[in-house]
Amino acid sequence: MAKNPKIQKEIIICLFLFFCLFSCFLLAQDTRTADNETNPLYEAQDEVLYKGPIHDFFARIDERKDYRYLLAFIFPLFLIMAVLPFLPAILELVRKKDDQPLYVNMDYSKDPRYFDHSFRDKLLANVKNVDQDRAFRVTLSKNEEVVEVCNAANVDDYKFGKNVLFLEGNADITTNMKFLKEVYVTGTTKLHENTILRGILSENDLKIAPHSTIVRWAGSEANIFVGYDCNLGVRCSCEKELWIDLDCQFKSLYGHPIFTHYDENAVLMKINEDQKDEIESEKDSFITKETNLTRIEFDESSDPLARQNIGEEEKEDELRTISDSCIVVRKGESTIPLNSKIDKDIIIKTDAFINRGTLIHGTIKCYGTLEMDDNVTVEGNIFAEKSIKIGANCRIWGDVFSQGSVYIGANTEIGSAGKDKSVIGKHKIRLCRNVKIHGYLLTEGGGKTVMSIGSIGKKEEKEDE
Amino acid sequence: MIGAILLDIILLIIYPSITYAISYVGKLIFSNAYTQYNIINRPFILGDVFLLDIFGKYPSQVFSIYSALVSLLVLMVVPLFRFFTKPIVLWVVIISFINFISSMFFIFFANHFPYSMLDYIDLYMKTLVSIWLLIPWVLLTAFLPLPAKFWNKLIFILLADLYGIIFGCIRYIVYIFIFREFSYIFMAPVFFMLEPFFDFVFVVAFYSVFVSNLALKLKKDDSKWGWLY
Amino acid sequence: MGMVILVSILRAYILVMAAILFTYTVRHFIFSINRSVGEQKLYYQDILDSDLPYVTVIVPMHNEELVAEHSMENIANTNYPKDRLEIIPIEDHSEDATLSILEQYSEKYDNIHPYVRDTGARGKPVGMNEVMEFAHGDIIIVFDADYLPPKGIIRDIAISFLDPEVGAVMGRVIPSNVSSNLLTKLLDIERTGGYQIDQQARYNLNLVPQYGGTVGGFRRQVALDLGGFNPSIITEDTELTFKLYQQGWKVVYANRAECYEEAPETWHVRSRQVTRWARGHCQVFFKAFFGMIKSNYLKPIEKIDGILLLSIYFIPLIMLVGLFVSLALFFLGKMNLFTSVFIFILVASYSSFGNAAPFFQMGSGILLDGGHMRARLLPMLLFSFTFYLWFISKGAFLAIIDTIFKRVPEWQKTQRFRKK
Repeated sequence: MAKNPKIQKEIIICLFLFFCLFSCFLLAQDTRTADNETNPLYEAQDEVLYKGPIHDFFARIDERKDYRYLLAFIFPLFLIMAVLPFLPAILELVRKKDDQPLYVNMDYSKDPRYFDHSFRDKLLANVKNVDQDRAFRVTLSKNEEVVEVCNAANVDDYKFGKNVLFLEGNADITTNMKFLKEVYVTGTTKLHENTILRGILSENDLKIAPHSTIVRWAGSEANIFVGYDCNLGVRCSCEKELWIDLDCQFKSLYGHPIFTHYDENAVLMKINEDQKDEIESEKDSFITKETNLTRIEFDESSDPLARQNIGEEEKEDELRTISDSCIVVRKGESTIPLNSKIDKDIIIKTDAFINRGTLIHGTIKCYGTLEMDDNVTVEGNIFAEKSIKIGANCRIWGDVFSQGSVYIGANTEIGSAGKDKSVIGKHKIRLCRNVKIHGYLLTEGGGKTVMSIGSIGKKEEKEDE
Repeated sequence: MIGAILLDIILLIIYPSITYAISYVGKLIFSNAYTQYNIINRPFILGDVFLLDIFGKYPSQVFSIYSALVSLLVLMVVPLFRFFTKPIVLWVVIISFINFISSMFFIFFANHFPYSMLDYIDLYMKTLVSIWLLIPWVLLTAFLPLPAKFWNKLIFILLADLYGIIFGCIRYIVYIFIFREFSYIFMAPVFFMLEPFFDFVFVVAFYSVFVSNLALKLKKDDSKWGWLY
Repeated sequence: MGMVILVSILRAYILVMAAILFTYTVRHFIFSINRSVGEQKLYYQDILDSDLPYVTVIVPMHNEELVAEHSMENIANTNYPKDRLEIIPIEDHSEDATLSILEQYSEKYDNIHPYVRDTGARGKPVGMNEVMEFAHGDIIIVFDADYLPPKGIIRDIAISFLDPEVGAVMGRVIPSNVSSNLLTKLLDIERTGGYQIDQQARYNLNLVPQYGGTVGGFRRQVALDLGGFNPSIITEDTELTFKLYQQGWKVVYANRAECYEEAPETWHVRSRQVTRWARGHCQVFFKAFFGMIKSNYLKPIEKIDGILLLSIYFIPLIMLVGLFVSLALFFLGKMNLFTSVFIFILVASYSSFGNAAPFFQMGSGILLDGGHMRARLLPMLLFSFTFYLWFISKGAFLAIIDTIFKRVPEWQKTQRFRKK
């Protein structure tokens, strides 16, 4: 008998319940059987003649025999079948194969340079274990990898293929080379045309010549310059400037700033070390100067809300506020007129068009597609449930976040130097020339640098949806 | 969808034979030298369901009183204890409550009990056939969001329905036995607390095994499952 | 004639109940499909922004010596900028060593400022109201004392307030003591169904995700403008959720903001917890029902989902009454095939054996979470069917009584099980 009084109590109760059931069973002997006379509801009916497919089988059975012994099989079978559904659960409770809490990474924090940092930390922590073959082992994501340490100058002779590379010095990787594993370079890295790399971290500048492909990620502790028609894999991030030429594909970028530069010669010159000085001056002209975004003088007296394209009579119903600093615009397509100035957050429950010259001192949340004409300034963030199209020469000081796609016109600047801001477009991101983004860019679908975005056509809207 | 329709068509063709077979087994077991029970038919959906024309046992007044007292005792005693909160005890309490109501009914209105064994069997059999027809749809709905092959899903639905048919037939005999040996007083608790749950538990069990197997398979191939956020 | 009317009423009840349960089943099926094969909506976690809002983290505590240290340590070590983070644990009438633990942390970290309550009524809503008056944060983030917040969670929650329409954010709760016993395992499965599928699908579909009072945050000024928390309502989170929706604010769900909690380890504790939840939720039903219907800020589909969410804790009570009605029909001899098949459908559809989430929803959730053998425990939920049927019905019934007699329920604390 268990010593625990609680268990003892429960056993007593169970015995009591068993006693009750047993009493019922005994008492059942006292019941009377209803028969044709005593059961008012029973009326014997004639047996039906069954001519189904199993009739022949049953016809061979001798009905005069006593078949009550079948109950001896049926009762255990009943119990087994009643319990059987619980058996997998009981087995799991006993074996405990999957009884740990769901994994939560307690140290997780958002780091746009996670790949670079994690890769570098792992390599540098293990590089001291390098053996006489100039190699060491390290576990990267799942599997243990062999890391070969070699002089970056010798990389041309490298029989590349299966090992991670730790290159000492400046690397100049010639055309058409393919690296199936990650590469770490302690100096500057230059990838010539048609290079294919799984992942690379360069401690100094990383220069990627046209038509190169990064399968997973590329990182640099300094600048990255990307030539045209490159694929930048899952992430391309650096501490300083990230230049990207035309027709490059990407999913995630991080730089201070990210800059789309379609002057082919400029980027190529940048990649070409010999013309360094010229490039410096060229770069300055793009990066450091204030682009031609001139803040428009707004007509202070104009009330943009009164000039919505929704009817005056509907205004009371359509415009509401959820707080003093917020306007809610509902129904129909909403257009914000030329040169408007709005000093509040705006929540637009439909598609919206913001005309040129508008200054919004607040955040925009749009439930439809948000289209901004040229020369619009938003001193806040932009959120949209569908796509966001930002015109040319716009200035957005905050984040751009879309559940659809993001199209950014030429000469537009997002964020400000010294701060991280983000451009997130779930479906895709298209960047025109001279777009400057201070911080982070991410898309699930695919990003691309393009010549022009045009207008968001029906096809693209459909794609987004 | 096609699988479920196909299964239902097969079931609609074979359910008269199944109901006849199980009624025949019942007839073999419960008939004796004095009483031979007949198998009768009742129209249902496209064909007939076959039923064993049998009678059960009415409880005596004394039995009903004792049964009510025992149920009442359980109802009164169990909640006094802390382990009242344990789910299994709550099951006992609810079954006892239904049994108490049933006992009271037989104490005061025994002659008004509205069901004969045949009525019950009729209801049971028709419910069972309906549930056999429903199981493919329930499981189909449940399997729909799962990234598994059509044939794997179909096999599990088939197995679940097969289990339902066999288990339903076995319960048929067991319930007849209970009502013949221990009286109609237990008809209500059996009907309310056991029947639908017995049917449903194995449906969930099949589903759970299917999901766990699928999860193990998917674990080996991450690319097949796009967990995003 | 009277009998005919009675039977008609009883059958009508069964029909209405079937319709309600069917509606819930369809709702949960849509959720499961959405999460499994539908398009997922991005949460704001990927936004990287240097300008983060000032946050006050509130941790209500009453006799939490077993867990206070862990939660304080974790919150103090989050990576949210220290100059934008204030931590206020509320020491609410504790009789154990909670206060001394908090004082130690207050000395160790500059931004931890315990707020001691030893007078007035005890309870989370009262304490929160008092703290909100003097807190510096624009955003209030709440953790229960037994929670173990990861490093990045405050940023993940706070970032969503960049969206001007977001009034509150709810993160995901994950039981840490899953392996303790059958109950904790079942609760883990329920949570999976509830968060991984239910909340995320409602967020995806622009319906009404619910703020759950912990691992979540809200705008301080908005909460104050809405009158703070009503001390007579024991689920202040549900109350805030519906107040926000009625006023045009949105609640968003952050599946990535995961945080460990300690699930109840005994059925007794769970019964008290679930009764309290049901009671509070149903109290809010009476307060918010018409407000939700009338609100001009909500789309019809949001209103429908909101009403279904508000009513969810009445379902076991409706089912319990349904059991009585079926019993009556049975003994009146009116139990027909429909009613009998209905009982199967009742169980099969809402299934789920009565836990607010059907079995297929939990199964899909387990699959998404990468769980495997734990899915085999699903049939065990049968045991909690009567449990929830009884205790949630009890909570709903108490809420009805509270509303009729204007009673103020007493605040109850959930017992902790963590070893010292």
